[in-house]
Amino acid sequence: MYIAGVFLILTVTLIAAALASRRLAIALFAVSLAVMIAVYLHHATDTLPLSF
Amino acid sequence: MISPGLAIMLNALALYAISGILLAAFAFQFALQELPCPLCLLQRAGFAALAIGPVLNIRHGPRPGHYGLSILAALAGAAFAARQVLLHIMPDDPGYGSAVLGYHYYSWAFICFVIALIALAVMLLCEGQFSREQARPEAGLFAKAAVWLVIAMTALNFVGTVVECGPAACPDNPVDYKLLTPGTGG
Repeated sequence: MYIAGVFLILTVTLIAAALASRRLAIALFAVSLAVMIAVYLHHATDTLPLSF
Repeated sequence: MISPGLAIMLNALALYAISGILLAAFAFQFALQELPCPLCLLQRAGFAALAIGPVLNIRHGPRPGHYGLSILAALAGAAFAARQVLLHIMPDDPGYGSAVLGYHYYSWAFICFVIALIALAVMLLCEGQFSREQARPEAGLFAKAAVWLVIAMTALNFVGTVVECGPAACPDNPVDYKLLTPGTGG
């Protein structure tokens, strides 16, 4: 559901970029990016099979 | 020397390319009957976020800040793809999903995000498009269609993700569409 929310925010952001002010679109972009990173951190808990 | 008009044309072409990538992901999802995992969906979201800069360039005229937004989106998308590449990097790991032309979707996604970063750097070098002396050209039908196509593709991904995951969190290895499977729709 979180990822569906990401696409919803991105759709709204793209519509804002196409029809509304730059400032609103950039603010929504910041929110979108923050949500994307939060969802990524939520799902990226598996240990990578790597050693350095 | 790139004029603002040519820059808008190139941004429109970038939007068609992003829409093509999102459309190809949908096509392989249905043709191969393979459901996208959460990281796969995040990579698609990275492509949608990558489109915000070009849409702003088409609507408000080319500005360095718009390319900056796309660079941030491309870095995030590349990080998501790199994470999945590293998850399947060990020898004999079959990877997630089918390979297309020898590479899995996440490998192609990583390559595409790196190409996008290079293209964005090149566009930022072309400072003629940022000239305030030239009047900002109005976006034509070609550019406007590109904008609405990428918006439609992103909205379709919203619908597809709702159907796949339902009201719950998306499983790491999805096997069915939650909203289409009786008893699992939540």
